[in-house]
Amino acid sequence: MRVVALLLLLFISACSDKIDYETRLIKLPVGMVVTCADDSGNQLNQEDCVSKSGIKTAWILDAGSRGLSILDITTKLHYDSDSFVPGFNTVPVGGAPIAIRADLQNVYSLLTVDDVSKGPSLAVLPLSNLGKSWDFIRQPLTCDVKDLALGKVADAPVVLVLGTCGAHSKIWALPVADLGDVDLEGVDTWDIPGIALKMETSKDGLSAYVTSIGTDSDAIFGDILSKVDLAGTTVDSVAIGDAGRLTGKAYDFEGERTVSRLRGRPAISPDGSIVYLPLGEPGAIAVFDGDLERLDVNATGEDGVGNKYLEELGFKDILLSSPAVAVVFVTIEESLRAIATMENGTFVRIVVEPTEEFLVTHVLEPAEEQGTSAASSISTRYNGEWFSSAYLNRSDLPSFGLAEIKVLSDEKKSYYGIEFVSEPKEMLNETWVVTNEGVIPGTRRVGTLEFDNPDAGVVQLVDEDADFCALGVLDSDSSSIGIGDIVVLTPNLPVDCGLVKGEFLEYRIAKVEKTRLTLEPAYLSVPLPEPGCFEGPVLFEVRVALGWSVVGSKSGFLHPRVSEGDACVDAANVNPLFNSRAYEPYPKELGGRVSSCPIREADPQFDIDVWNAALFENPIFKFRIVPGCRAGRDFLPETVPTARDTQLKFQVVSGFVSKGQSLTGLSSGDLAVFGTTIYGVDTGNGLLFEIDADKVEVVSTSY
Amino acid sequence: MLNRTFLGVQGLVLVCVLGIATLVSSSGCDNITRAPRPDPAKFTYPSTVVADSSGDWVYVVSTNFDGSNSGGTIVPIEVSTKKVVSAGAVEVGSFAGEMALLTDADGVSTKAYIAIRDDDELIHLDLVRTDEGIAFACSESENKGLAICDDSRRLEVTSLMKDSVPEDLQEDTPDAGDPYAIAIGAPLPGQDDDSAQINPLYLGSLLDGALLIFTLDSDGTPVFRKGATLAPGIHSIIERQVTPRNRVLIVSNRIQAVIHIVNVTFNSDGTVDVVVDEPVRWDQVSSTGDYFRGMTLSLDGTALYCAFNSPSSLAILYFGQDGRPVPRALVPLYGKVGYVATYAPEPGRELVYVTEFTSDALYAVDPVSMLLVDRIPIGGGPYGLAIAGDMAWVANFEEGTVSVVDLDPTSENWHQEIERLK
Repeated sequence: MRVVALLLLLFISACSDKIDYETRLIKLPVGMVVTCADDSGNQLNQEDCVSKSGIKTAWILDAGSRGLSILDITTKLHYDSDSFVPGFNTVPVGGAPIAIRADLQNVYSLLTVDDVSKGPSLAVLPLSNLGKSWDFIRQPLTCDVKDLALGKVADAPVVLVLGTCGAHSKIWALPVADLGDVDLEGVDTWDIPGIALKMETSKDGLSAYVTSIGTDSDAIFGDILSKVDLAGTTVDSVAIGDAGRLTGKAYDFEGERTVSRLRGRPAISPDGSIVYLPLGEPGAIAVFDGDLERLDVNATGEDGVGNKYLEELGFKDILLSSPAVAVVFVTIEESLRAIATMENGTFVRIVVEPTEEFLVTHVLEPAEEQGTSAASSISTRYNGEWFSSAYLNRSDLPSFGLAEIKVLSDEKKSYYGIEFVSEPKEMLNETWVVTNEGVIPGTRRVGTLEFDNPDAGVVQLVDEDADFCALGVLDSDSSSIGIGDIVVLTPNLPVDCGLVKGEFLEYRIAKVEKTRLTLEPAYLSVPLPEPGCFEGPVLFEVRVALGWSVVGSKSGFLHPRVSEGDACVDAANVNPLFNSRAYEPYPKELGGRVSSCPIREADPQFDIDVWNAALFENPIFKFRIVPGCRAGRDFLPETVPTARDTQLKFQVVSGFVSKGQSLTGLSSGDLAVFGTTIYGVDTGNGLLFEIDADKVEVVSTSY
Repeated sequence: MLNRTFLGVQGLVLVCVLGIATLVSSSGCDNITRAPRPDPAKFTYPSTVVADSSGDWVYVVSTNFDGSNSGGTIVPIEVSTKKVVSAGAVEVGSFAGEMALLTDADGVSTKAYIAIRDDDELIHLDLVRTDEGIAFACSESENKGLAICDDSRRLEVTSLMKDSVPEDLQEDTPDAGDPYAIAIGAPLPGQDDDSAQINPLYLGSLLDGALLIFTLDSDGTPVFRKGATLAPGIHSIIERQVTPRNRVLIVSNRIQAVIHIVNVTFNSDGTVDVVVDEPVRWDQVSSTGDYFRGMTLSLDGTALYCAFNSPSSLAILYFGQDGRPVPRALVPLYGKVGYVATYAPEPGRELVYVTEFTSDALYAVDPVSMLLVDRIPIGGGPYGLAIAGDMAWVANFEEGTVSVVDLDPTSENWHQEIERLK
């Protein structure tokens, strides 16, 4: 009996299913639409769906399974397209999908590669077939397809397909009634400049808004927003432009390349008067009117609204804490708002139309509870190593003074020697790095030495791709201390030309122009190089002379300089606090004698004017760099010369808190709005989420 | 009678039991039989694929993950014929990490360097052109059958960090166990134009988070120069040249959600300075415990593409003013992504290919439009990836095969697996 039992156990274990079925049903959602029907199965539009409490179905385009995952939003049950295969099976779309749309008749899936034709195609699933068959109508396409939308041409519904052919792009308008047999040569088309990315249509279906990236062969270079009049042939395009001083750029040693800021689809307000464009680099929403006029949402008026700092930085958009993924408009209590999802897994609400409560438009709606702006404790980098001030007890190293949070008044505090001077809403969350004789950002480049200036003995460093004025480089005339910035040359091989020898050569800038720097000796012992000393391109960097560079991770190196022709001048109407150079105070005695170590405020060994003048201030904060000190001759305290590249680093956190919440995942670019309810998919966790835009909370998530 | 019968049955059972016990114990005690030499014609848990600089060869590293053989292998495959050239293979230790190739001044791959996790070793080998095509050589004497390396080619790395610091600091200095990441840098400037080419070599330890910096002397032997401690989990290393003597290393970490940035200066007197900068962090969306894996630069060198698993995605970064990578975007994917490689289907355009381990796929991502343009089913458990001859060569770890995928957009087999080598 025991043997029989053992054998039976063996048999059972051998037959048990060893496959681990996936718990995650939505694998790689790349798009989503929500359709709605009444009890009889008649499709309803969004407004009727809300008023009639229709039954909503989510169609999630899954690139992982190459199919449509169909989910009843009320019951949260998935439709299984093949009951004979274990697990929930998506409806195969027959190719590699990238985008999805739906109207009252069909669900449209855009495929980059159709499994049969091997080219791009549109897979159309009639909603009338739901529950009966899964036969798709296939419409072959051409070029590299990028996005699709639904519109109207001559009052007839069309599917708009956006694609790129080589360096140019196009929209094709495919009549819905003829899908499957549409001849692409015979349809209405519109040329779009550059490489196309995303597309959205206005609510009336008569206009399409397209984002693209212009190349050298286009009239507009960089990010482009175009408006297409579907009733005619007009395509109007505008450059989205950069983000002022906050522009994201990619650098190599041949120059800089602008990084595209474009992210998700444009969103058009219900009346077509406002277009919101989600951007990254930095995260933002750009605002246009319906005719593509850019609105500077930060411009300050006489009433004091606006964001002065962002305006001064040339930043026109609604600044977000993370790149925007998607944005939709939603009406809450008859007032228009927008919900934007971001890459950091959160969403925020934006005030679009003024209300009694919020008079300012196109701003992040503030949360009920606001925070306090603060700076983190200081990290110090010395000799290549970082130390946190929490653990650092080194009076020989420079600092901002005592490492403590000091209460200055009822409303103001000083954080580790840093005192804020701006409002929380005008502060950016960013990291500031203060570097002794630091390299000016963007000046580590390749140039050539020129010796053929008519003025004998003049040596110039030339970089035709540079704009030294815009980078903030100073010469002896423009410097407040009368000493030009330092150029460090790094030839490929160590140099040995008489007194000019070594791996690195340092000179001062006698004159700065847009693309050339006139050099002069920094040290008597190192004269200027002569022709033939070293040839060819040379790597160089420009450092702040006898001071500290102050650089924000978003604000950058603030300064007022611009180029006017070849010359460098101060820009007009620049905030005089646009300043990125800090200087240490120096004691009266040449030997650096101070009264005590650590150095205290108002140490009498410092001239009071020198001490006061060393207070650094920019539009956000102020601080004073206090030199390090040690016991010197006769055991009396004296200052310690600061080593080059010593750094002080801190983070600034704005006290402004926007109204929003965490989604806990990375949302895809599709959001569906039904009244004040918004649906979307979380690509990170494979979830459908539901947001209550009125209460600004996540209502539910489901697999 | 009955008792004798009973005893007879009992005795028989006893004899059987004793016999079985003897058999079991004798087989358990028999540990002097060595595991067989690996078969160079087979892939045993392949994990890494590296393309020769000529594009004519790819080299597949088998890890021998189950210990069924005496070691792993490196096997050449001829790209044009997709033929496995067993004659050129070599046995290396088990659990190999990454492999890097050294190219000479003429752009020819002449040497290979591989991290061996099991033995905590760095092995260097020569690439020799033969009648069969190409072969790995790492022995003074001629090997019969599958080549195997002399001890002189195997550098034990565990205690290199400790040996290079003063005695009073050795206790606090970590080991460099479980070497995994490896990269070879651009040649260093010599003292004059006639100086022999010297390249740096970088080795990262997965377990201890040590970064070891070597220079390769004239015969390719690695000479240890300096080390630095990052954090456990070092996965891949990319070097970016700032000046001929200043390099920035970008180091991915699979256990922590950071990309380490390390500044290295090779001084003309032969000394090396290392400064570990603040790592690059991403706004974390989830915490899976698995983070950054393989990396590659964009074709124009201004962007960095990295396989990221929290959430599963292709992380796109670009290099800012100070040379640091700045997060740009996450392109959502699914599963466990491993390695990445770039390919230009046409001038001015590039696609990034990403291996995905759990659903046996190769993703194709357009980094400009940030779209997943295709998902290509391939063999079981794909991980390492290289591109050569307009084809992607993928090591399928679980299945023990190599998938070959056609990347030529003009081919009728575009984005299809055209061969699965076993």
